[in-house]
Formats: sequence, C-alpha cells, structure tokens
Amino acid sequence: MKQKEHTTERDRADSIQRLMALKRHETPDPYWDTRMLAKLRETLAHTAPGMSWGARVKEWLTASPAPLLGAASVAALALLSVSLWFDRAASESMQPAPAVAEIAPPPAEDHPMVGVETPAEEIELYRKPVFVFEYPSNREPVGPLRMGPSSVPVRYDF
Amino acid sequence: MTSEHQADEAQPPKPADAELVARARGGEYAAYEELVRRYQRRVYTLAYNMTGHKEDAEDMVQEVFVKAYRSLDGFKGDSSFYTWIYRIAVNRTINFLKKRKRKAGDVSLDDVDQAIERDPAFVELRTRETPVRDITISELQKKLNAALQTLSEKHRSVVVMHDIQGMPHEEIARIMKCSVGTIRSRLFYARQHLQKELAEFAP
Repeated sequence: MKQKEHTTERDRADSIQRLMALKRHETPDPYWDTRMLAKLRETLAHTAPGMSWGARVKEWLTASPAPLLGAASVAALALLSVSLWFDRAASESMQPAPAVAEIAPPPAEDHPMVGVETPAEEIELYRKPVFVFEYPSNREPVGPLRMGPSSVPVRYDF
Repeated sequence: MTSEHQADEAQPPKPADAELVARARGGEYAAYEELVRRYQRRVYTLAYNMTGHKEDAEDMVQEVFVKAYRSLDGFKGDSSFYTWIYRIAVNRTINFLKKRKRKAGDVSLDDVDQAIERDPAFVELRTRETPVRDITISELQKKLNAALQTLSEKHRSVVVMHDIQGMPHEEIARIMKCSVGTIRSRLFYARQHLQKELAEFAP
C-alpha cells in the first residue's frame, strides 16, 4: 500500500517536472544574442576587467549626468549644513552666559506678583525716564541726594 | 569517414573556460565575449523564468555579465566559470525580485517555439480525455508561468535550474552554496506546491 502511494507521489512529481520542462520552448527572438553582445560591448567599452573601486565610482559618475548632479547636490547640501552649524556654534559662544534666575524661574505659586495685571498707564510711565524734582537750584539741598533706579535729578530756577 | 567528421576535425579545439578567463583578465575582450556567448542563453533562461518578464531578464543578463567582467580578479578558479557566473546570476536575480515593485500579474513572455508541438509532454496533454486537451499553447504558457511565480525565490530558482534547465542537484548545491539535501528538499516542496497550482494538468 505504502509502495503504491510512494509510486503515485513520484509519478506526480515526474509529471510536474515534464510540465515545467515545456518552458524550455520559450525562447527570445533570434537576434537577441547579437543584440545582447553589442549592448554589453558598448557598456564595457571603457572598462578594464577587475577595475578598482575608485575607477568604478569615477565611471559611474561620468556615465550619465544624473548621478553626477545627485552627487553635486549632496555635496552642496553637506557644505551648507556644516557652515550653518559652525555659524550657530560661533554665535552661541559669543553670548554671555545666562543668569541662573533666567534659566530656572521660580514656580508660579512662590511668586505673589505672578498673574497680577499691570495697568497700561503704569507701563507707559515706566517706559520714559521719571524726573524727580528734588529741590530748587537756589536752595541748599537738605540731606543726601536720593536717587531711584529710574530717576533723573533736574535743577530748575524759580 | 563522413564529410561531417572531417569538418569537425578541421575545426580548432575550443579553448577551455579557464583559458578564456585568463586571456580576458589580460585585457583581451574577445576572450570574454566568447565566454558571454557560451553562457548568455542559460543566464537569460534563469533570469527569464525567475522574473517572468523578458525585459527584466534582458537587463539582468547585462548586469550579470558587467558585474562578472568587473569582478574577474575576484574569480579564483575554485569553481568553474559556469558555477561562478550562475551564482552571480542567482544572487542578482533574487535581490532584484526583492526590490521589484511590479504587480504580480504584470508579465512579458517570450514566444514559444513550434517544437513544443512534438514534445512528448505536450502531446500527452493533448491526448488526455480532459478539458486540458483543448488548451492553447499560449494559455498553457501563461498558466505555467503564473504557477512558477507563486513559489518563493529560493524554491523557484531550484525548479528553474533543475526542471527547466536540467542541471544536476550537485551543481545547483554548489551554485547556491548549500547541501544537496537542501536542494532536494526545496525541490520536493516546490513540486508539491506546483501540483496544487497545476492540478488540472498533473492530476
């Protein structure tokens, strides 16, 4: 029984093999060989057997304009990226180091002023220097001159 | 002695592949062309049946012989030139198929020569008392090709080399750098799969 099964299996395999062998009758046109040889001769016209990698890259670059253009674009892009990176690095090194307070501001809940609106008039006031009239010029000053952060002493005459 | 025999004797013996390789390495292009002439059809048949596309196969043949020419220095002579060129062809074709974005049904087939009409396998199909007796050559060609394309690249390459090109298991094993057992196993599973695909032709 097993022998019979084995034979049937083998027959099927042989049958597939014979069917596949029919594909041997599919052949290219009669001029294919000559055409192929001519095309290959043209491709290998400027190539020595067993060429070095450098020569191959050179040949690839000069074979058609597309790879050459591509390589030139990549090189230009790389050059631009490197110059931008250097420029940025140089400008960063020239800036003073930021204060610690600037880097890490305290959390909002620790700051009672955070969230309090400043009136527009007040903002306008602080944009200009504030003139503090300390004393008239014809009088002797009393005590030391007091200067605020944005105050400018002014003399005036009556 | 017949005139045919006399003509055979008059022809100079064909140089061996190794000799042609040595001459090609020395820069004699004609020697390389002779090697190409010897193997281009076989490489084409492999690429054609693997891709199911004659234009792709033509490109593959070009690529294979260009690659081989540029790598002649790398050919150490450990195997025959035939094995070496076939190895390049199989690897290139498998890589090409992995990258190919063509649709599965997109095929471009060669013409079938008239000798198929006298092929015993075809004659047997025609004499069967089944609907396949009325199949045209073109329909059969498409069905065989479609079935072959359902196999994985590795299984397909073994079927192409063994069943279509008639190469022995040992030679295929050398080309694919694996054991004869692996080749036999791949062939067995590939045929089982093809049997399902082509059930109407091989019941």
